[in-house]
Amino acid sequence: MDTLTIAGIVVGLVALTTAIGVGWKSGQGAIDKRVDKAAIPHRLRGGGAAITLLQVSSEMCSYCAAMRRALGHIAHTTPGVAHIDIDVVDEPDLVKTLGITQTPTTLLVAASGDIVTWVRGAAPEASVREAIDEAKKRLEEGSHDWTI
Amino acid sequence: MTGPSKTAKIDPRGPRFGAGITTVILLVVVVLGLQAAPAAGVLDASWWLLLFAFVMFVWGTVLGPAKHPYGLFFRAVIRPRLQAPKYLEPETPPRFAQGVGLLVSGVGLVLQLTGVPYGLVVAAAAAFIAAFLNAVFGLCLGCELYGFLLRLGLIGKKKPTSA
Repeated sequence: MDTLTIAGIVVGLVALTTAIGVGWKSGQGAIDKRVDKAAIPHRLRGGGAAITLLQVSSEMCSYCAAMRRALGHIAHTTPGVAHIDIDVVDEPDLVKTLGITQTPTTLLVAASGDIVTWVRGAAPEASVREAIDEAKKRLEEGSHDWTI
Repeated sequence: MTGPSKTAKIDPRGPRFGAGITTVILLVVVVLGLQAAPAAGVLDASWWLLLFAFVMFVWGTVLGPAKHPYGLFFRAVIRPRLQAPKYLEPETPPRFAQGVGLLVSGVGLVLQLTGVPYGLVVAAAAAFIAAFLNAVFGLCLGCELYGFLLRLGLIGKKKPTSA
């Protein structure tokens, strides 16, 4: 195979991989305001907290540890916010029902058990805080829709 | 509520540094393989270099990234020049990634031996994509592959239902 063709293939391979990486990176920490009513059982709601950060982790996940630290810090410093970390192997039914395919996935759960926001992948602490404030606002506005 | 797993904790930049070396090696394998292609079934330079990458993957999978030559080099030479890591990660995820590399590069070696044209190049390119994404973007294979592993039944049934 001649040098020019090889160079073209190599450049194409690097470009393709970079494109995949940029796409993946932009999807990390994506905030999804999908509401799932009464999806979370009582034992996984942080004892009456207005918002429970339900983190779904797995053993083979690098960023779960970083996310655990950030969410733990948020729960520690924000009144009415709790943090619960579960492993996919401990809650296989819930994980299957919700269709979680990526770890960490963080669910913002209202006291009613409704999921009000999804955070897919690792997210910076600031954007999780923003999502919490936004979710609280939505819960207050729509309190006639949700049993808080 | 489950706490973090009790495995060894390592500096996440170590495996990423190793992935950088692996990325370069695999790209050279692709180039050498393309130069030799389509003459497959020979133990040429690309095959031997991919064998080296394979052995490194075996090492990383069996002994873990902390005891890997690249990891040891990182600890001895690179890490003293860096700031302390912001957080530590469990050893399991990068070890899993090494296992994936082992599998893919192993397939490439076998395809070359069985005379499949471009088999080695395609496998090396696939391994390159994974290593590059890890080194440059910090993509964590174990985080993303959860759904796939669940479907294969490799994880998700560790716990008895009586619990």
